[in-house]
Amino acid sequence: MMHLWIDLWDRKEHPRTLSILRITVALVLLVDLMDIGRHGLVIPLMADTASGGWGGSSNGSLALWIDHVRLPFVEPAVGVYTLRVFAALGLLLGAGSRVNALILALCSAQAALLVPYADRGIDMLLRNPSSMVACVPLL
Amino acid sequence: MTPSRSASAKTRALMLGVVLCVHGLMALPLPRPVMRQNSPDSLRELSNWRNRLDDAGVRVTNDQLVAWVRMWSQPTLWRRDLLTPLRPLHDFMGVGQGWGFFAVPVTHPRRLEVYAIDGEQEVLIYRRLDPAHDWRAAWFSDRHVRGVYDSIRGRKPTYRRFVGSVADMAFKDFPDADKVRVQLVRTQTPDPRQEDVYTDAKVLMDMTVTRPETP
Repeated sequence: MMHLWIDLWDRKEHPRTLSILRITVALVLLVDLMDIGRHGLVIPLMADTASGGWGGSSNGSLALWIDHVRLPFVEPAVGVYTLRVFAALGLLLGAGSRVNALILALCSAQAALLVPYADRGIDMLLRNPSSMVACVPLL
Repeated sequence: MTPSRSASAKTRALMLGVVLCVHGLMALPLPRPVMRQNSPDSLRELSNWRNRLDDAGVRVTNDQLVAWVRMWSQPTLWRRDLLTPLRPLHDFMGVGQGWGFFAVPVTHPRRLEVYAIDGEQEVLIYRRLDPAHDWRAAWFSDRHVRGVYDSIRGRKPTYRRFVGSVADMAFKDFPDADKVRVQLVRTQTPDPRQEDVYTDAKVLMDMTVTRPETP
């Protein structure tokens, strides 16, 4: 039984399957990010409460680090949003896929901590394949 | 001859086993712990179940039924205790399953209503799922925004800030309005024969924002 379990997870996926997963996840995330931008939700969903964010009960959590990121030239929330858009674009095009997938998963997790009520089941479901793509040896 | 398995293959299989067990436990459709057994909904459910069991030839009293329900909701509390140590990791990666699959149907959906007030006149400008009052409907239906008023309990700071954003937009779009009222109404999923979803409607939250004075 144990050997069957090990063998089940010790198989290599076909690159085409992985590419379809990568492109689909990136496209969905990109469209979602575009919607956030179009609806003017960047500040409410990604900024801390002092900067106009809607905030939530998780503010002050030890896992929340994005509050402390200071970027030059832009509002932190706008910077994080731009980073996420570029990461989704990179993932879509297959450039630095693992790093971009990790950025997307971690930034999305931070947004979930900032405004937990705005984080829906689909966001969590998208973080799982993003983390998975980040762990794939070669794409 | 049995092929030898590498250490990395074994480690991966072990890690995936743990991950699947944890997520499987989180996703189990366990009932919520029963806290209130005297609410009208609980009493109605109890009576329905007692009648069904009666029809099936099982005789139970209300107290026995409550004791059973309490017993079956215990695993939810054990699950919470078991998963507490993993909470920081789930927060960091954002992978904590926040809901059990199909555990609880929504019996009381909420509808958000926004009113622009100009002196004595109060105009309904938005009501969820009402095509006749669809001011910024696309914004309100965005799944991120919807989550803020759909699932929030009590007058949380997040909801207050959300109402502030709604008021800012309304003041911009309705220059004559001097106040904006945002109301969250709890409706009841109607019986298929019933048309009016506003039967037994209850106002959960009602906040009014006054237009800030311009210097």
